[in-house]
Amino acid sequence: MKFRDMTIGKKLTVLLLGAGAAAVLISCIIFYVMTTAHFRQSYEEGITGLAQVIARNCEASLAFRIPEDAERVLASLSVNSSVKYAVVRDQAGNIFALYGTPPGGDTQKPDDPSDKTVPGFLKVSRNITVGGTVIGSLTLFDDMRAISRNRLFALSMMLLVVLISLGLASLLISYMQRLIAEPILSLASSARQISQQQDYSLRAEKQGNDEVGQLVDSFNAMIGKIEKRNAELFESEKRFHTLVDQAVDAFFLFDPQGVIIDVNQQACASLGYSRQELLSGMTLSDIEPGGRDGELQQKPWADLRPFAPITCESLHQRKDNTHFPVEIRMGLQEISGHSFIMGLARDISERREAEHEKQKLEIQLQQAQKMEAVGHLAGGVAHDFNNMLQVIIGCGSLLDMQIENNSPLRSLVIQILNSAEKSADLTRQLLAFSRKQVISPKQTDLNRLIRGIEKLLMRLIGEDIEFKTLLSERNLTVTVDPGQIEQVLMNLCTNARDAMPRGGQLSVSTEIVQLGEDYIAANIIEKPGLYAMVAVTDSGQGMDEATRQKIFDPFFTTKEIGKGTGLGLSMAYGIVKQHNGHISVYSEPGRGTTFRVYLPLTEAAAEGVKTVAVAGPKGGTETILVAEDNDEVRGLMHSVLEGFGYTVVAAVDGENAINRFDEFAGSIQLVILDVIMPKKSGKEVYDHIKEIRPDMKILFTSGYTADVINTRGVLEENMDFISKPVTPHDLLAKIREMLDRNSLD
Amino acid sequence: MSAVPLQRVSYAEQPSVREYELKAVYLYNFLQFVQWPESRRTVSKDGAMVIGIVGESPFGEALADLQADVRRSGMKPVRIIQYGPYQDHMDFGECHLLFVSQTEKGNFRRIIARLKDSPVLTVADTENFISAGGMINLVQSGGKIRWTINRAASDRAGLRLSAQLLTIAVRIVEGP
Repeated sequence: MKFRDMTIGKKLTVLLLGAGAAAVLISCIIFYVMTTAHFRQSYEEGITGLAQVIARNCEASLAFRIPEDAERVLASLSVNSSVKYAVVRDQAGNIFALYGTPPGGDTQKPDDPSDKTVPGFLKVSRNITVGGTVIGSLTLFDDMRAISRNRLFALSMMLLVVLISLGLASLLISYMQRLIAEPILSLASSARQISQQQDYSLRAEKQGNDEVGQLVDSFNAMIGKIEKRNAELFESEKRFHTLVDQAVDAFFLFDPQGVIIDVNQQACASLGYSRQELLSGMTLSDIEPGGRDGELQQKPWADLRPFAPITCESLHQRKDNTHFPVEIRMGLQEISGHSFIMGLARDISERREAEHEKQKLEIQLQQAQKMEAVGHLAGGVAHDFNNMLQVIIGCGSLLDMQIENNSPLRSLVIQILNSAEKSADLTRQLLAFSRKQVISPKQTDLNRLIRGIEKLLMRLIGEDIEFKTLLSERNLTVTVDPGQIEQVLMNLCTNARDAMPRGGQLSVSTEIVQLGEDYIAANIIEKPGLYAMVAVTDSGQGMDEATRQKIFDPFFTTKEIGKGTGLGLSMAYGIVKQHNGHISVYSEPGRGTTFRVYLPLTEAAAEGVKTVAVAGPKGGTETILVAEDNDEVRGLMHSVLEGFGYTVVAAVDGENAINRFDEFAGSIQLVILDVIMPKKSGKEVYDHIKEIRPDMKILFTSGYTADVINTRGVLEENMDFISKPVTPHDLLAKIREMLDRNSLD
Repeated sequence: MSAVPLQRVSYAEQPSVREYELKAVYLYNFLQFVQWPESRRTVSKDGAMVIGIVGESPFGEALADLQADVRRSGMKPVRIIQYGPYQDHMDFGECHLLFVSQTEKGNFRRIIARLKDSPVLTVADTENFISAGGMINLVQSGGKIRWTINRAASDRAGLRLSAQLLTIAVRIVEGP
């Protein structure tokens, strides 16, 4: 194992023990050497000293040649048991006195005065002197057991020291390990814990102010920064995620195979799926029409390249299989080796609608501009023409006055005048159409106005046509130019007359109506409120849809060339519009036509109306069958009735009405029938119902005024009728009245 | 020192050597093992010590031989003074050691008195010498020549005898 990789404890152990051991060893060796050397030296000195003493004590003995005394002295060596052999020799080397046994056994001959050194024995010799003269020598042999003992002692001490040192070193090491390694290990453990738990609010504990303490500080600072950065990242991610999730457009993230990986809230909402459903393995094909059936022809995302987003239009299919148009922007991204495709889808149905609307408005604008241009032209021409006409008429009149009654020239003059008059009429109409005529509005009672021109109208329409007026009892005061309104009425009657070449009926009726928001929404009027309505109904040939659309166009006429100018209705339209009113037409081929003119009531009249206004319409909970072929009218009635609590069964034509009635026969309490419907007429439905439920309450509606229908034999006298367009108020009041009117009768 | 005369002598042969050769050596040795007071340490320039013999010398040539040996071997020189038989006017003051011969047995006390406790080592080899106030008396013991010591006498003279002399001594007497 490399030294670097050992634990700090082991490192410390190795280093400390190594160093310690070396130090201890060196010390011990030195100690040993010095001790033993010192001891040996001392010992030798001691033995030498001993020899000295003994030699001194043998001086007399040797001098006086009395060996016994020397021997006695030598014998005292037995006390010091380490001296094994001692010999006193005289100057000749002869043995004088002996002690002990010579070491070395046989090799040592006592007679040999050389006293060779024997290994393992300390040999000490001393001269014996008397009076400054050497008279002999003393030689001792010491077995040095003390030295051995001392060496042993020194070694033991060494060993003891080593052991103690080792022991201390171990303690020191373990303490140092704790001191050093523990803070480090604690830091490592903190780091691991933080990393595992991903909890960056934790901090490592600082245990001291040393290098490790500094490390802990740095570490904690770093963790603090990570924590802060994580918080910032989290905030940022949350922010962006919220941005995407709550974006107005639908956001999709999908893989190159088209499998949806992520979506935002708008994506779910626009498609009608839950987030779980969209992420359950659905692909983009699943949300395009035909995609589920595998009929999808192109996959625009299959050819995407990075950094080359594409924009395209498409359709998205909701969960309920309805479609809506979208504009999609898609881009390919590569993140960490994976490819993702991000798509943003914008619901452009509103935009489409707006585009359509714009187109329609543009067409209307063009139409209006066209009419304006024509009007200007016509007005210009008419003005000049009028002046010239005046001259013609003037001169003609003068001629008329100067020619005798029975002159043959007279008829010519009369023809001139007649034609001139007619031309004048024409120019007047043109001028009116071009709105160059000055209008002087004043408060006018419509009913009185109509009565005022009744005779004129009758003369206008001729004798073949039956004329009737049905005027409202209420006060219809409008702020209008009376002459212009008369003109309008005359034009309408002229038109009606022309529609009934073989005679018929013509009625003029008036009423007050309340026009609401729905009329504004349909671009009929600009201001809601109370209006005076004048209806001109004829029983003529009627007109089809295409003709009805163009009826107010200038110069549009269904008559042959030379008959009619096509300007009458345009003029009427212009006049009514000028008075902030509205004119509408209701007609069916072969069934006649009703023109309705709406003019705003003056405030005073409106106040008058309001004071007698009835209370708010009451609702109810009965079940009502509504049969009406016009979708919008039916829809309006349906929502009004339901809005006031009724249950509505709708039918779109006569046959449907019969079927629906049969279905719900038991629960229906009132039937609303349009008189004129496809497949079966209102009357036929009426007969069917009456057969099954003779007591059923039936309300007829029609665009024609009641009298016309009556006289054409559709309705009988006491059938309930309400004419279209129906104001919600009136409808509700009527049906409430009918429902409440029960078998009290 | 004893190596010179004793070269001829081996360990076991002491008794057979002429008695007075040995005793001459003893006398010389005594000089080495006794400490004279400061005033008597050295008398002459060459540091020689003086041995006086009073009475008839039993030593014969032994002392002269000794003297020659000593001179030859460079040891501390010694002078011998033969006083002859005792006479009252004799002054032994220049001697370090005075050997009183057996022939002066009757004069032991007088000689001792004559010395008046001056620092002269008195040696004899006759009975009663110690009781007469003599300091060292040579005796035979166990085949060897030893001595008896009168310590009181030597103390009075201011002489210090080596402990070894005391050890070898056969007997140590404390008086007179």
